[in-house]
Amino acid sequence: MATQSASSGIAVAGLAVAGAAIAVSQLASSVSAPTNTGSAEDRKAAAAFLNRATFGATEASVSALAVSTRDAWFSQQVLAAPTPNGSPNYWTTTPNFHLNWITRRKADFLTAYNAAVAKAAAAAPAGTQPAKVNLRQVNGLQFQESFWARAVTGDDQLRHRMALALSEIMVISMNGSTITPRIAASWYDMLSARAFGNYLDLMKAVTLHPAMGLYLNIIGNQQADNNPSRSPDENYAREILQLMSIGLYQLNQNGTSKTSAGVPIPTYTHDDIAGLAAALTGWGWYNAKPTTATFSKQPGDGTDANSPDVKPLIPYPIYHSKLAKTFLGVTVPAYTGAAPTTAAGMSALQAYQIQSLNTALETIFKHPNVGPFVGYRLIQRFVTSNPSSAYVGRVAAAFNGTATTARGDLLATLKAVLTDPEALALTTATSSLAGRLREPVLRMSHWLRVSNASSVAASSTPSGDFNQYTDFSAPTALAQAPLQAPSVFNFWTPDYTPQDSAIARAGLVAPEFQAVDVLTVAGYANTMLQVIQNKGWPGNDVVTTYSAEIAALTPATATDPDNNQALIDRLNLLYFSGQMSSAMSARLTRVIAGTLTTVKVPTAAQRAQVRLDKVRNALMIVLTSPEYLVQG
Amino acid sequence: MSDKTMTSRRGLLAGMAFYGAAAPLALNLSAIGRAAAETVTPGSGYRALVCIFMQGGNDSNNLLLATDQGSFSQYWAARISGADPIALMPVGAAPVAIGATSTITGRAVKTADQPERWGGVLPITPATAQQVPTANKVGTAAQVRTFALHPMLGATQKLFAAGKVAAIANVGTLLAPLTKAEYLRPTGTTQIPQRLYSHSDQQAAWQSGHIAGTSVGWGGQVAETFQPAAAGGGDFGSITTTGNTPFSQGVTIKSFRVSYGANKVSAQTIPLAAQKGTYNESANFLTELRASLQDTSSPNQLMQTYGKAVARSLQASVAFGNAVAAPGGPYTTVPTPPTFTDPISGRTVTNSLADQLQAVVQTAAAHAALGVSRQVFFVQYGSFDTHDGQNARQGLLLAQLDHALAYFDAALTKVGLGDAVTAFTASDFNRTFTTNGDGTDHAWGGHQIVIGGAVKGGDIYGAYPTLGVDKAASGTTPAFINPDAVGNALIPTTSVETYMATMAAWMGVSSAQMASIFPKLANFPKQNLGFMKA
Repeated sequence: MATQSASSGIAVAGLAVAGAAIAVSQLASSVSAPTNTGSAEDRKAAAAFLNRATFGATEASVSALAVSTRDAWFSQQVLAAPTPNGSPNYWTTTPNFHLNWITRRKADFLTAYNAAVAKAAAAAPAGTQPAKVNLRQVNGLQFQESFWARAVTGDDQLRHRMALALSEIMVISMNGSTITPRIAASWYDMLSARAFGNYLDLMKAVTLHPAMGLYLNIIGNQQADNNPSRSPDENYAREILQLMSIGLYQLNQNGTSKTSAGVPIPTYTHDDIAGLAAALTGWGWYNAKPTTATFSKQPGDGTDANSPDVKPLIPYPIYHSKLAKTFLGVTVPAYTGAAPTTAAGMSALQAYQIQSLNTALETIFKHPNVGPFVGYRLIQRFVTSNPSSAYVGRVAAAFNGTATTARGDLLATLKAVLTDPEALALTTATSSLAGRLREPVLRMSHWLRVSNASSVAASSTPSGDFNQYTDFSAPTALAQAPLQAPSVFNFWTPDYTPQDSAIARAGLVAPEFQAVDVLTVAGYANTMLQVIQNKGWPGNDVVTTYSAEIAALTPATATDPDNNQALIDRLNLLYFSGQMSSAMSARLTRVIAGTLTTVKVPTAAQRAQVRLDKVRNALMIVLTSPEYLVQG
Repeated sequence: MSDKTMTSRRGLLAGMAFYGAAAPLALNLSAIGRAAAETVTPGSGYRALVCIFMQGGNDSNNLLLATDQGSFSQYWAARISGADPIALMPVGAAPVAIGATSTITGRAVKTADQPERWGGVLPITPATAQQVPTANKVGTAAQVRTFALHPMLGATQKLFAAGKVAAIANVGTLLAPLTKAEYLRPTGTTQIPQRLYSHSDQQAAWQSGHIAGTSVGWGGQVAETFQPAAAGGGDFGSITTTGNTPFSQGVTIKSFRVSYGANKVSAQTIPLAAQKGTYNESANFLTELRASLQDTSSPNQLMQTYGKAVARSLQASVAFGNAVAAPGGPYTTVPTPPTFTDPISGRTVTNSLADQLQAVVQTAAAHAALGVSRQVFFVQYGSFDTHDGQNARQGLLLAQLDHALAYFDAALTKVGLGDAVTAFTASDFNRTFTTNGDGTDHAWGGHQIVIGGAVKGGDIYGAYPTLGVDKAASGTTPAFINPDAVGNALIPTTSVETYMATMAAWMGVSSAQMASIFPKLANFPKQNLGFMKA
């Protein structure tokens, strides 16, 4: 059986390769249009949906969804892996994709170092010191590599997109903190594993993750019982309420503010913050033998997911407040058990500390604001900056739970966000204020995915490492890189509105415009013009051949003119979800038709060069146009 | 036509040269519009304001300290406890070497981030004496308050003595004067600022008078009174080294964000001139690309807003680059900041604030070529959100402030703008008076400093508050009531609006415009704090 099974596996793999080869040759020869699936309308709808739910619609993903259902797609996405054709259910079995990447890259650097040392020793003349070799250290860019590899080639697009969205709501950052690449990777793994889980579980994992422990000072926060000159640290207590769960004002279920005599009603006072801060005291670094010295001392880099630097925080009961703590209308009564001078006392106090945390998070979770608060933010991350209150209300209802789903079910919430009738009907043509500015990383990932980019071995980097040629968070690059926000307020806040705009005058918002200024618009345009021209990222590790775009242009026979319209149709479907304006279509027609060679009878090679230039010129227009940059 | 206007026109013409004969007509017209847009009285010279935003909430209890016995004992009691006490050492304390034990705290000094290691706070003597308030008095006789700066502010201490630095005590967000009694028992007419203690909201309030969500601030509005956008101006009236913050935006003008680094301020341009080997050299394609980048023909307002942002970038960036990079211009005349050594680690590290201030001085030095005689600048650094590890983190940040201010003073003097440019600090809020173990939390009123040749320095403006946290009577110890504080936070006695308005008046904003930029100013008895020369 085993042998048969193995041999059949080989056979299947062989078939798959053959099948792929056929598909490629069909594209290249373009005898007829590629075997597309689905009606034109279904394909447009699929592209629109995928451009919100993934890192960019591709020809393959559009064709698959156009003949399937969104329900089936969600089911498949829940099981999908962060790699191409990876093991199903990856995230419930070995949920350490990003952390493992850091480990692998550390090993890569060591291998390269050892090879360089050996080479230097061999090259050194006898009796002389070999040239000094530096061991490259892992830094934040290695987390970025794993982010891009997964965004461009991973199967679990929806989970990754949700993790990115969550990372902009529950914000930690490697900038200005001691969060290491390992801790950042572990954080993103945690968000990924819990992306379709329950919001309460997510809040617990967030609260006890070392990344948040470092970023908002959960680690080392001590009780100040009966100490008039000291009080517990309020940083996390304040931000979990303001930014991650309930916000500043009481909300109706449709997201509008509740008012009293015309004034919004605050959700909490400083006393609630102080009570919550006390309830969250006493959490410190994992250690097999915790002592007062291990409480707040950051451990060095570990080797795997079980090392103290990335394990959830643990209770240090002597640092937990024993006094009664009141917040949001709930009181954790004072500790009345035995003093922690005995093992039994310590154990009782530890149980009390854990109960304080659970009460705190469950109280926040039960607050009626959480549904509309989280729902509104997710709609902004995926669909549109200014949803109607009815849309927010429907998403909040999904968050609040149904007969079949629990309160806080993030998959149900996300489905409600992406399949709401308002979302499905929305295009930038529906309303002059509809849509959202695409996030810079989503523009770059979109181009890479449509262009079938891959990471290949370049002179200094191995295949598949998605070598970061620059820090994309620089304002002269993308002004955005995941887990590198300038502060806990992310790259943009949900209520940002661009000054002196029709958006502001309408009383509406456009969060992503917070990162738009004279410098960043030029930085973005220059970045895209450069990578499009270069057919990939500088350094030639991440490359594209534009084979599908060139195939679309290439006529059936060598004597026919190029099929310019087929290229425009492809760009329209994948970049504009079939909503390209007639002005854009006309401009692309002029640009593509105007890309010529002056040679009267061009050779095949000269015609191929013209096709490449047509593709690049068209892409430069598309990727930098305001029309593309606003997602409908 | 004044000589200055001539210079402005020359700068703009130089900017156009980049495009050669093919310069689009629209670009030429708009550039000339900028030169014509100034509304400053001729002969009034150049003036600029620089907001140094200490991002995250600076613990200014540690910036400007009252050191008379009664005040300092309150400070000491509030800060000497916890795992890593954050109390600074008293005036005159000698630095304690690592390995030695402080006779003041009895602690062994193990690391360079312990305040014992730094020595005492640095005394300053304001020209105007302030009395010790009743609750901080030792005994009952009248006492004059003494003051000091954080031990890392040695250069600032000298600038204070030289009359170039002033301190403003207990500034904060206020809508109207507010007493403790009113705060604790508000009536229908009591005005308490919204969303105190929240970073995003108090940053916005400090920069604009409004909570988060606002997009128009003090600086942008001051700038646009001189260069109204309606007249085609405003491109270079409000300069920032960071992203979109409320301070820099006017009602109609937008801030111009510059790059800094490698000792050169610069703008980012999109190269759209035909160039072999980069992207397509076809002139037709570049014309299409230029039009597409800044296309505003879509009815969708988000698309239009983006297209306008690109249009502005394309128009202004080349002109800016030419103005600052002109031969014999600021790149050659403005000195480079000296190397900065972290006094705690002993390592040479970058000082982002000094680098940003270099960009400010270079831009200010190019003001004539930029066609402006009034400018506001915004720079920010941090994070000052020292919930933990305050000693090391704030110590380094204030050392950077000190180093940057010394450089700023020297650089401005070198280019002859010492009296023309005034910088001031601002921050989200002050922090709690007591420690949380090794840091401090969000609070309210705090202290700021102003620097420049036009500042009436060497003095403290506004009443320095009573220090200490309320305590109930216990046994024979009477209750302690701090009339200036609620809990751990100071109730401001000077409003941010008055602080900003004092500088706006120096810039030359007319009293009529003052009322529209600072709508709450009239609520306060004093509308000019008097720390600026005429």
